[in-house]
Amino acid sequence: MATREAGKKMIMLKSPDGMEFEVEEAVAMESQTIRKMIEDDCADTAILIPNINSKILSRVIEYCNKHVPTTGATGAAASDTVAPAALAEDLKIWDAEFIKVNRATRFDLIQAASYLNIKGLLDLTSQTTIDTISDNSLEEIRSFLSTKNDYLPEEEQTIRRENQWAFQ
Amino acid sequence: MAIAMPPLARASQRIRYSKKRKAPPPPPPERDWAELHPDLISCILHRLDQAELLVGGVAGVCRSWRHAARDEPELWRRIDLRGGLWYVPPFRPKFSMETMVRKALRLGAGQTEAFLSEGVSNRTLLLLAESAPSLKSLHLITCSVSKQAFAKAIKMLPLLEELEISLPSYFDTQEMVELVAGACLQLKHFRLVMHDYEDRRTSAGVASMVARMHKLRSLHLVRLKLDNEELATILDKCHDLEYLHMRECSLIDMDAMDDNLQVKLAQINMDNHEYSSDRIVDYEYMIRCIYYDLDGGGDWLSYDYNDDSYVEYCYYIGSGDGIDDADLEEYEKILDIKSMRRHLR
Repeated sequence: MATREAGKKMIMLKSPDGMEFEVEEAVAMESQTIRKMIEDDCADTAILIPNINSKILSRVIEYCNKHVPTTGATGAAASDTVAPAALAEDLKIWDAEFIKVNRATRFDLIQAASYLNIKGLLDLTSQTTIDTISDNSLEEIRSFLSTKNDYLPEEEQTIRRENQWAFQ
Repeated sequence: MAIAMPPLARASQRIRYSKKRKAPPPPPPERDWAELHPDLISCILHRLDQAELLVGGVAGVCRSWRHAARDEPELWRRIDLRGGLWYVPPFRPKFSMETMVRKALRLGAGQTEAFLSEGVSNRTLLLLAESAPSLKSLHLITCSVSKQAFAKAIKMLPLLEELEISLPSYFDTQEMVELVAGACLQLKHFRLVMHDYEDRRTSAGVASMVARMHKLRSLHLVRLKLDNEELATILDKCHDLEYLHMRECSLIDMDAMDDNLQVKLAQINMDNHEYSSDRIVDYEYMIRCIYYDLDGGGDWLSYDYNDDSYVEYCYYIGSGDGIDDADLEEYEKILDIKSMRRHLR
């Protein structure tokens, strides 16, 4: 316990808005993109993560922190006694809380997960998006996604015909 | 994967801010999801039930989402319409499974490699065979097809590596398996689940046809009356068999098995994990059969083969233990087939 930092390599991640996050290498390597940089020795000082602002990057780090394997529940002393199934269940509950964010943040998280290549986070964010829009009408989905109807009138006809099938 | 470390190490994380700011979080401006990268839209759409993707509103929200939903054959490489029946309104033949399948296949642009559906009819099956020549994996659940249609379709699918026929109706099971054995020379995974127990003669016939599928790596048979000898024939001929799963195959007798057969069985994985070539998703071999039980007074029955309780009652030849009556009670409750069993008598 006393030597908790011994042998732990730390990595500095920088967001474009000038913030720096010092994280353990193992946590950073949850991102396959960063893993590749580290393995290719492109990461001696700090890694600049373009396009991901500090707010999103800190959430991503929070996610990776929780999901880095072989560690138990956060800070719990008895974590090594937790059964794998219980741990998976715990992670699921944690994920569900983690993803309770507004649409804009989820949008940014999807993009970040994709750029950083973090499969679990991409799964979580896309699944949540699908759960939100599934079983809804066209107009409802449009409002969830804050998109506008950008079809030409003749295209609109096709869509309307197609949509007669379900969700009437 | 990531390096292992003691739990406390994670608490040591420091987040260092190069600038100290106390910015009150402004409400984030809304993002227009139409501007999401097409790959990410696809990634999201991959998770939507495909029947809903075909008929629901998602594909219509805006141009970019429509493009992802309609112009990417990749999305339809694996067509899973097992939830499709929920979207078919009764008495409106215009909106049928066939319409859905037709549309999905068109979107797949000939690249479809896996197809899973309930309620496949003659026309749907033939349509599939014509439109998906590179099909490798076919799962027909509660199909109602004629011998002629099946024979014609199966010959058009020589690349099939994985075939499931669950709860088929309308024609001779032995003939069906014979057609499969004759046409699908690449078949590696075969699953046959019968409604009711097949009779002795048919079961024996099925076993001899299965023994002709020399490349089989996994085999799953449910409700056939097979005996030890027929099992031995299958194991003799199918040298690559790695997984065997037999449930309710009533005549197999563990105690009367000769050493040779026991040795062979010992080399085969008998657990519930089934090998699958369907790598597009992590395929857990789940079937949700939903069919209308006419005799049972019109209840919707559904059973989930992936259920843990099911796993417990699988026929494990390795254990050799019989299932006692209390377990059987439980088993029947789980599968909700008690009424069906009554009808069988």
